[in-house]
Formats: sequence, C-alpha cells, structure tokens
Amino acid sequence: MRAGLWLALAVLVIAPLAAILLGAAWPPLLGAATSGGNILSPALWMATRNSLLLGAGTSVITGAVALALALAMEHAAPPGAGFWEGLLFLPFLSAPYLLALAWSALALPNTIFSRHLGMLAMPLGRFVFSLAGIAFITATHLVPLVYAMLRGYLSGTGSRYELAALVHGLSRRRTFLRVTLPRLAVPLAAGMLLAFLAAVEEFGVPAILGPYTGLSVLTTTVQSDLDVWPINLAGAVRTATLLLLLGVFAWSLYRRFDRAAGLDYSRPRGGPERRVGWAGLFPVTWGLLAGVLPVAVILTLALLRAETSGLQWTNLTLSHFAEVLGPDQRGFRALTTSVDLAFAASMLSLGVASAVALAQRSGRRSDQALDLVTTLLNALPGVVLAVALVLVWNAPWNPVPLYGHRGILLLAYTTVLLPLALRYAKTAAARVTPGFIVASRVHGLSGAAVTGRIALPLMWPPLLAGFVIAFAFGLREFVTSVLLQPPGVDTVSTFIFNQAQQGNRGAAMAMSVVSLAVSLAAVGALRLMQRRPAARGAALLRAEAIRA
Amino acid sequence: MISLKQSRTVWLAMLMAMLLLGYAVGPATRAATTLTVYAADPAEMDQQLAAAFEKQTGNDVELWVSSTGKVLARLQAEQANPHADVVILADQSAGLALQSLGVVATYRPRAALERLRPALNLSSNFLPMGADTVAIIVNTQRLPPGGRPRDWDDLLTAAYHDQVSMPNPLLSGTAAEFVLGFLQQRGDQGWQYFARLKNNGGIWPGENEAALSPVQLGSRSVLMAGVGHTALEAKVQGNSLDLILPASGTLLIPRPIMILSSSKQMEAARQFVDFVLSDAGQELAAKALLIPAVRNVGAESIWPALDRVKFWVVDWDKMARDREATLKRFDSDVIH
Repeated sequence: MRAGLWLALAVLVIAPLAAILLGAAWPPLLGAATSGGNILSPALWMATRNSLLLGAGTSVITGAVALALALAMEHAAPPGAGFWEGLLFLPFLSAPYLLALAWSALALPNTIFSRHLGMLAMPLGRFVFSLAGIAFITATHLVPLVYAMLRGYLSGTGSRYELAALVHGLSRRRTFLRVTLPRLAVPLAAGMLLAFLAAVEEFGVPAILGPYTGLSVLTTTVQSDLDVWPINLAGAVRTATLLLLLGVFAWSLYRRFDRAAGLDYSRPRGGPERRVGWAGLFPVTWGLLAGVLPVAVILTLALLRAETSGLQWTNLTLSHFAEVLGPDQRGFRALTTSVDLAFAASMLSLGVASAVALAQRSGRRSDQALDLVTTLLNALPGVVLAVALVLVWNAPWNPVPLYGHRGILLLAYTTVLLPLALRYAKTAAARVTPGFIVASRVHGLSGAAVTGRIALPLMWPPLLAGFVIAFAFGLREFVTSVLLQPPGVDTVSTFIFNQAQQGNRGAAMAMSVVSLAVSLAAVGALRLMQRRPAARGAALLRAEAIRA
Repeated sequence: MISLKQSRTVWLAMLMAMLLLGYAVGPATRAATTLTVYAADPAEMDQQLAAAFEKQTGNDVELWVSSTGKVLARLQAEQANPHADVVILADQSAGLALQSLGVVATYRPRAALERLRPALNLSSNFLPMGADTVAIIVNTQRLPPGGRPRDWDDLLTAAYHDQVSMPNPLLSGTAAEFVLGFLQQRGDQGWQYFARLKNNGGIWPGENEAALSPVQLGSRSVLMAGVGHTALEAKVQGNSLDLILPASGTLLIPRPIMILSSSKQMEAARQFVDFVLSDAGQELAAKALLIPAVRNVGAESIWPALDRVKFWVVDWDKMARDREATLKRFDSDVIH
C-alpha cells in the first residue's frame, strides 16, 4: 500500500519537482547553453515586486470582502439566501482569464459596453488596467474560497460568544470589535494567505490586463520566457523556482494559522438569530457585480454576430453556439475530450488523495512525509509543472512514451487537481473514525465489506463534493493544456485560445459559456443530491469542503 | 484493519489501472505511417489539408496547431527527443532561425519552385506554403471613409491620437517582422517613428489577437501592423473592419513549411509538402484567406487587389541576424 502510494506520488509530484530544482541548479540539463542573463536583472526584480504587491493587494481585498460577506450572510441574510449564496460562488467557477476578459471589455474606453457607462467609464478604465485592478479582479475569483472558510468557521462555532457578550451589556459595535473580529482573526489570516498564494500564481488575469500598462509579474515572465523566440528555458526555470520558494513560504505560514484555528467544520450549525437588515444588500450587490456582470459580458460577446456592430437586437446570433455544439464539430470534440479528461483526472486525484489522507492518520513519521510532499504541490504553479513534465516525460532516458500523448494531459490534470482533492479527502477520512471500523469488524464484516459498506458510505459525501469541484476545475484547465497539448487533441481551453487567436472570438466566447454551463450543471446536481438527506445538510459543499 | 487497507488498495489500484489502460490503449490503431505536423496556422485549414492528404495517400496525420512562438518553444523543449516531422510557421524569420539551428532538412523540388510567386522565391532550404501581409486595419464604424489613414505616417497625426493599437513584436512574430522590415526601409528614422507613435498614444497590448480586440470592441479605431487573414476572417464574420495596404508599401510575409531532419518519415513528409503546394492544397490555403504561394491560384476576392500593392524588398537574412538586438531595443526604448 505504502509503496504504491509513494510510487504514485513519485510520478505525480516528486519527479516534476526534482526536474525543476535540478534544472535550476544546473541549466545544461535543460539543453540551455547560455546562462540566460543576470539573475538580478531589473525586469525580474520589477516582476517580483509586482507579484508581491499583487499578492498582498489581492489578499487584503479578498479578506475584507469575504469577511463582510460572511458576517452579512450569517446575521442579516437577504431573502432567498440560498440563491444569493449560489451566486457568490459563480466567479469561483468561471476561469480567472475569462473574468479578466470581461472586465477589459467593460473598461476599455469607448467599447460597445463602456459607451453605456457614462461618467463611470473613465475611472473604471484607469482602475481595471492598474495593479490594483488586477488585484481586484483576481480577488473576485478568490472571495468565494475565503468566504467558504469563514462561513464554515462561523457555522461550526455558532454565536454563543456574541450572545454572552450582548447579555453582559456590550454594545453591538463593541461586541463586533472585541469578540467577533478577534475570534475570526485566525481563520481570516489563513484565508488571506491562501489568497496571497493563489494571486502570486495567477497567470490569466495579469496576462490579459497587464500589457496595457506594461505590467509584468513572475508568472507572465515565465510565460514569455517559454513562448517567445528565442525561448529561455533556463530563465523560465529560474523564475519558476523563485515562484516555488514564495509559494512554499506562504503555504507554511498558512499551515500554521490553519492548525492554530483548529477549525472543526463538522459540527452542526449553531443557529444564530437572524434578521433581515441592510447589510443583506451587500451579498446581493457583490453577487451581481462579481458574478453576474462578467458572465453577462461573456455571454453577450458569444451572442454577437459582429463585435464592431455593438449591442443591437439585429446583431445577435446563436451561430457561434452551433459551431461549438454541432455534432462532429471541432468544438464539440474538444468539449468531450475535456469532459473525459476532467472526469478521469478528478477520479484519479481523489483516489490518490484519499489514500494519502487515510495513510496520514496512522501518525507514522514516513506518513507525515506524505503530507509534506503533497503540501509542496500547493506551491507549484501550472506553468512550472508544464515545463517540468516536458523535462521528465520527453527525456531520452524515459522509456514511457507519455509525452505527445493524451496521457500526459491526464497526468498533468491529476497533479494540478491533487491539492484540491486532498482537502476533500482529508475531510472524508476524518469521518471514518476507528470506532466504526472496530465495531464492524467485531460484528464479523470482512475487510472488503467494511470498505464497501462502512468506510465508503461515510466518505462518500465529501468525496462526491470534491469530485464535482475538481471536475469543474479540470474542465477549464488552461496553462498545462496549452503547453502540453498533444497533436490531434483539443481541449476546451486550447479551443478557446486558438479560435480567439484566429479572429473568431465569438466561437471562443461561446465555448467559454458552454463549459461554464457544464460546470454549473455539475455543481447544481451536487447541491440537489446533498439536499436530499437533510442530515448531511446543504452546507456540506460550503462547510466541509475547502479546508486543508 | 490491515485487510481493510489492503482491499482499499486493491480497489484503488484497479480503478487507476483501468483508467490508465484506457488512455494508453486508446489510439493504438494507427495507419502504417503517421506524420506529425506542428503548425501555426488557421486550425480549420490545417485540418482540411490533413484530411485531404490522408484520403489521397492513406497516411495518418497527427496535427498540433498553435502560435509560432509556442511551436518554436515546443520544438526547443523537445530538442532532446523531437516529435514533429513537418513544421509550418507563420513567419519567414522564425523559419530561418530554425534553419540556422541545423534541424531543417532541405526540400525545394524544382517543380514547386517553378510555380511559386516570384516574390516568395527566397533563398532558404524550405518552401513557403503561402503568405500573409501586415496592414493597417480600421474599424469602419469609428472612422468614416474620408477619415481613414492611407499610410503609416498618417498614424502620427493628431487625428489618430490615442487611436492606434499594435501587436507587441516581442509576442507576435508577424509584428516583429514588420518592425524589422520597417527599420530596413527607414533606418534610424524608423526608431523615431515608433517613439512618435508612442507619444501619440499608441499601445502594444499583446499578441495579434489582443491588439485587435480593442479595435473590434470600438475602443481604438486603428490596428497597425495587424495580420491580414485574421482581420479578414473577422470581417467575414460580419465585423466592420477593413484592410488598408499602405501606399509606401508593406511586408509580404512567407509562411515556411519545413521538414525536420530528425524525421523518420522523410518520404511521407515530402509527400505532405508536395500536397500542400499542389493546386488542391493551395485552394484550401486561399479559402483560409492566406495568399497562395503559387501563381496559378489566386487569393480570395475579399483581399484588395494584390498586384497593385507595393511590397518591400527586404533582406530576410539580415532581419534574422538583427532580430534579437532589435526586439530588445524595442522593448526598452519603445514599450517601456
């Protein structure tokens, strides 16, 4: 068991990490003859600075908005709270590069959209194309993640401390400042670090919005090193190592906060006293601004016959959707390939993650090392992973011809999804307490029966939630797909990339809408399934899910 | 406990084995010869070319379509173990760069050379499969017929202040060639031109598509040095865009098709190149709005009359030599 698990991790995680670190230490390994310039070049220094600023800005915005949302939903939820909460998760499901594309269509001066914004257009344009704007848009994508963490924490602990404070005569304001804020500080810090990490690794948003003002960050530097002739593999790997170090640093801090918080998401909701208040307007506004608005822009672009003709009824068409959904079309094949890949990779990553999570419970030192290995993965950006996978799987000494074959994408997706899968698997494993196992063995169940009839049913709900979320992420996976795409294989993201590049943006946008709809349908189905057994609670996705 | 874990292991292992097996066995049924083609082209055209070639010869074609930068990057990442047999790139100097690495096998059959457009018969050890040009692309809703630029220098006037978008030559191969060709025409005055363009509010938002986007959305009215067929494709889709080929001339950009010397399918690779340059292949290229490489197949009628256009005479080898230094200077002096 252990040997198999280590072997799986060696293939998925250790080999690519080793390739990167070796390549950084010894560039000739990368086939790079030149040293690739000075390590402390001004451009790299600027990119590092911008990455750090972007991370910090994103984490502050994400923290503030998520805190306000969690408190508002907890204490003054608007009517139809379930619907609005679902809406809050919309930007988390749409790819960050799509959000960036939508905001740039809104914010460029004089576009078919911004012409309708009047006075707002100018300041919006200045904002969106600045570092602050990039941070804001990245934050809209990450807010749901941190919101889920805070909300899970609030549900777990209930509001008894606040009640006690109020009973003892503290004003509401002082209760908030002296009780609520301090007790939320630790989970908030954990969430903000997670946002910092995600923002530093984000590629799509700065790649789309940065060039207008000449901003580059570490991830876009890696990309242009890899993508522009003459390519600089050594430089890319060096920058990637810098990113990896940043990631490891932020992640180790995060783990400390996460442990200190001692979050227990599995306890039932405390049932705080609820009242409808003005604060309830905030989740509604945010859901519309961060979720509905960008998706509406993308949908509009997908429906326009010609972008230049603007928003008119006569300029609307469904033909781009026919291009994507028509049977035997390239778009449809790309969609089915992505669905296949996302499906298989989510299963695989959840399988490996479950094995890791179950093994970790033994407490043995070698099993703790599993945790360290999978933790490193959190700090590995997709661009770096793609380079590493080429280095490992296209090496002349490697006898397995996976590179240039669909399998390389399966491998890449599995690795990309592993950290996400691990969060769910840990929650799932925590549900299988030793007492259950011992009791069923005492009553004469065989090992297989214990697995099939006790362990799996217990682990099932979080694993299912994890599967759906991992599937949605796999469906839109961008960075490794574009860099590793084998000949003859198209995925959703490479289709979007190629269509947009050849002057057919309508089809690209239509594909974005379709893939978002598929993810939404999957998540919607999950919520319905979770609602059935009332005891499991609709809060499962939210509360149990996003925890390391 | 132990047997529980064991059974779980077996269960997981079986699942994984099944999935992996499915992936490994999937494409096992292959034709006798499988040709791998990496192309920076309109994807539909490549697919049509591949399908027609498969039908004619019974060979299989595995196609990977991306941008020139990504194709080159991939070739370099794979250099220890090359996969491609045939490579099609979107610009001549990228082809020459690949040639200078010594990885391109010479293939220039006389039959094909005799049919080439004279302007496309350049010294290299590969053939062009077609050509494209860079032009001034205008949003016709933003600019009335009388207000459209006619030449590069018009874009420096106050009428086009904050109106010009251009692909970043560091990210777009065709824009890089435009800059290099333009500098060969104008020398140091070319550098002054770009400085003045920047002062006039010019932007370089990214690859060709990223630069076209603000023009399509109406935020800017002019795309400078935009790729011809992409803009025409958007026009065919119904966008109010038009192509202006400047009076002082522009660059005709051959799109190289080459066979890698590492190919183990030389014969099939040559057949593929022959097919792409045949009338049937060239008509597919014309349909994709490229300029056909051979004389007897004309460009689509959406193109302006090409025989009246002035194309610059440039030294492609010098352009390839100057490329790195020029782009570095463009990045530091113009963009930043």
